[in-house]
Parts: sequence; structure tokens; C-alpha cells
Amino acid sequence: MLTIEDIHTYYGDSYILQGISMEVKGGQVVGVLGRNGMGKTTLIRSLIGVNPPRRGRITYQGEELTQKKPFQIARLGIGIVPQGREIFPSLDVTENLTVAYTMKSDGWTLEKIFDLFPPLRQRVHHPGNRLSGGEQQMLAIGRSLMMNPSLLLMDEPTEGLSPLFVQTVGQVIHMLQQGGLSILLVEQNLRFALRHTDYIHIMNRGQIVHSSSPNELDGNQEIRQKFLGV
Amino acid sequence: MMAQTLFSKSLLVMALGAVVLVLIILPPVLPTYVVILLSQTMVYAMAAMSLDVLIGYTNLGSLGHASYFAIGAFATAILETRYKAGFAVSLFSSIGIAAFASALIGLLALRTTGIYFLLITLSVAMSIWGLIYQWQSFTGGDNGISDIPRPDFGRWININNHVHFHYFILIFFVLSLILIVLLIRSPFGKTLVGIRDSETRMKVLGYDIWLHKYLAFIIAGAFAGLAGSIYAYFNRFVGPGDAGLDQCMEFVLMVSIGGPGTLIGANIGALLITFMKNMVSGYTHRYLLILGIVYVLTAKYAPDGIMGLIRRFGRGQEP
Repeated sequence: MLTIEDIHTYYGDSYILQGISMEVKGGQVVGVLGRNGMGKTTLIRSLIGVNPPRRGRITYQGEELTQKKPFQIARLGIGIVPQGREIFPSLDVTENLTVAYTMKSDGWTLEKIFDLFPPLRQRVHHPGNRLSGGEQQMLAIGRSLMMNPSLLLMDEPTEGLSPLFVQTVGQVIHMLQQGGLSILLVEQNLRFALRHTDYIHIMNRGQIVHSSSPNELDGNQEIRQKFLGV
Repeated sequence: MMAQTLFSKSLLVMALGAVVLVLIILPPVLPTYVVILLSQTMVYAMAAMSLDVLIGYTNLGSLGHASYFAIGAFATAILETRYKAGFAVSLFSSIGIAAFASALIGLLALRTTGIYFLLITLSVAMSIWGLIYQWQSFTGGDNGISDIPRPDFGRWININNHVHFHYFILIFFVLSLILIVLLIRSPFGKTLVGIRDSETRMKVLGYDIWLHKYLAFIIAGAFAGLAGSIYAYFNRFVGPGDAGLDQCMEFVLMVSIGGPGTLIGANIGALLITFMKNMVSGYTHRYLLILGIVYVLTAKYAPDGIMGLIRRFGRGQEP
């Protein structure tokens, strides 16, 4: 579904992504792990078109994304749950959710999102900046689902969340995958990634240094120690 | 929506009542000087509100908004004095020409953001001012265009009576206010607020933000052109000063001092600056110095303007 071929991305003269290749097949959850500053968020930004790669190709369901504008990429069905949630502080919960609504038959609607995240229904008119971290994360995920995407890019969705909410996010990812959604999950939380992904890549200094199934990584202490410090 | 949660209902009603009183009920008995200032305030408020759509709601700091105001004013002036075009033709032409100008300039200016956008809008505004100043055969140059006739509506309305003309302006002021409020509350308006909050966020949600900014720029230009046209009839004289740096800054200050992103703020700012300008001029020529000091104080102590102060004050008073 999503194919990334040898992309190289720069911030000005800083060479960040140094030849990244991977793919996400339909219905797969692919994890990308790595320490801070290794280029994980830059990868997401390159995929969504905000920081396009200077070299390499990104194709999605046959269409080339590499030179497209972010809003064009978004309209192709790629949703993003950004790092730090990025809730609209001026809008309330309902407005935050409806702002990106793309209608799809039998797809996500406002009601279905509230079924998925009952605490949001209770805070329907709360402004975005008066929610807890966990509620904001639910809102951010809900908002991206309202676009009815076929591929979801999640950037550190468990960051700063209490164990209960981490569990909720995990359950949601599982449920979404069951429903056929493909997910690219960027994470620092190793245990979370091991539990919820089908395949894992580890990034170090802008390159992929390890790719395997979660089980293999779980059994490979040397790699974990070297690149994740765990 | 926000206003209702910030102020008690009685306070809102009182404020509205005061406005209705001053603008609608009292003019026949107020001194001529005050009525004329109120009329002038409304004209500038129309332009300031349109600039608030850009500065306060879309986060586009345009330093050249007076250009469209002046284009509208000069269009009306030229059409009325030279071609005897009549009110309807002049008004709509002014709006159209101002919108067209902002459509052209927007294509250039919106290639940039932030401070570069500020600089480009300012540069273009200075070019337009220079053009008006130099093109003496068309614009009258430094002499401007004078003796602009007011629209003739027959025996029943003496349009040259300052009270009658006040109500004439009031109609357009209320119309602009309603239209801009509708715009802000529409999905388009909410998108502008989203763009103000974070362009990147809106981009990844599938919004074509350039197009939204461009449309906002043109709409703001059209309303400024409308204000300019009414101004030409009000002042009966237009000159290059109406496109100058002073005027550009005044509009920005009206929005900033009143409180960006509130719409009410633009009106408060227009009122304050218009009255202050005229009253201070009675005592000193250094009006600009006073205005500058006011702006520095506002930027330092009340960056959200007067509306921001009211909001903070209101919050402090809650039990």
C-alpha cells in the first residue's frame, strides 16, 4: 500500500533521513522505533508532504506522493495523529472532530467516534485546551479517523499518557487494524510497539539499522540495548 | 459564542443599548462635531473590521490595507466627479476594483508568510501611494480630488445634512458588520481560525490553506473598498494621504489596540483613534507621537488590546 524507496530528507543543510526504505502493506501495523532525534518525526513529515524528500520516491496505492502538497496527500486518504496531539485550542471537542470530516459510506461519523471514546461524549462542548492529555490524544485520534483514512500515521501516541490511556490507545489500534486500517506507528515505548505491531524497524541517525518481527526483536537483547537503550 | 461566556448578559445588553443610543437615537441632538466624528468612526471601523479578518482571524499581518481603502475612495471620486457615474455604479465599481486589486496583490504577497508578508504588503502599499501621488492627471496628485458630490436621493432626504448622512453611513456600517459576522461564523471563517492556530495542522487535515488565505485577502480588500467609497462621499475629498503609511498604520493600530480577533475590538479601536486624533489635534501637532506611545504601551501591557483587558478584568471578577 505505502512504499518508501530510498528517501533522503534535509532541513536546509542538515541531512536527516539518509536513505530510508520500507513499506506498509494493507491492514498492517508497522512500527518505527528509535531514540529522540533519530529522524522518526522527520519521516512522518516527509510522508505527509510537509518536509518533502530531496531524493527518493514515496508511492501510495500506486500514486506517487513525493512532490504532492500536504493537503493533496491528506485527501488521498492518509491521516496523521501528530506528535503532541496538536488540538485546536480555540475549538471545542465537536468542532475539533468535525473540522476534518470526510464522509464515507459506512465510515467513521461523529457518533461512532463518541462510541469509541465515551469520555469525549461527556465533554462535547469543552474547548480543546481544557482536556487532559489522554482526552486530547483520544480527540487527536478521533479527528484523524473522521477523515476516514486508509493509512494512519501515528507519531508517539503514548507520549506522556497514563498507563490506563496507553492501554486504551493500544486497544484502539488493535480495533482499527481489525477494521482494515493500515498504520505506521512511530514510538519510543518499546513494550507498546512490541505488543501492537506486525513488523518493526529501528532508526538510528537517519537510517534503518534493524528490521524484524516484534518477536525477533524481543529476543534480541543486543540490538535493543544498542539502539534503544533498553 | 465566546462573548456570552465572558460577559454577563446584562453587561452585553447595556453595551448594546449604549451603542444604539449613541448611533441611532442621539445624533439629531448631539453637536455637529460629535456626529461627524461618529460618522467618520463608522467608515474607518468598516475598514478596520475587514483588516481584523486578516490580522485577527487568519493571522495575516497586512500592513498595506489602506491601499484598498484608497483604491475604493479614488474609484468613487473619479467616477463621480469626472464621469458623473451615480451612486450605484460608483459604489459597486469601487468594491469591484478594490477586490480586483487585492486579487492581484494577493497572488504576490501570499507567496510569503509572517514578516515577509508584512514587508511585501507594506512595499506594495507604498508603491500605490507613490502612484497616486505621481499620476497627477488621473488622481490629482498632491491636490487629490475634491468636491465629490453626495448621492442624490430626492427631496425627502437632504444628503448634505450631516445627521441624514450619518444614518446613510450607518446602513452600510451595519450591513458590513452583519456580513463580516456571518463570514466569521461560517465554516470558511472557522477554517481561517484553524489556519491562524496552525497552518501545518490544517494542511495535514486536507485544507488548501493558500486558497483560504487568498479568498480572505480578496474579501477583506472588497470591504475596504466599500469603506473607501463611503469615505469619499463622507469626506468629499480624497488625497494620497488616504493611501499613505499613516493610514496603513492607523488601521493596524485600530485592530491591535481594540483587540485582534474579536471584531468588536476593531470598532473600539476605530472609535478611540478617530476621537483621539481629532481631539489631540486641537492641542498639538504631534498626534503621531501620542499614537506611537499608545501603541507601545498597548504592545507591552495589553497585547490583546482593550478586549483582552476586558476579558482579563472580567475573569478576575468572577466568584
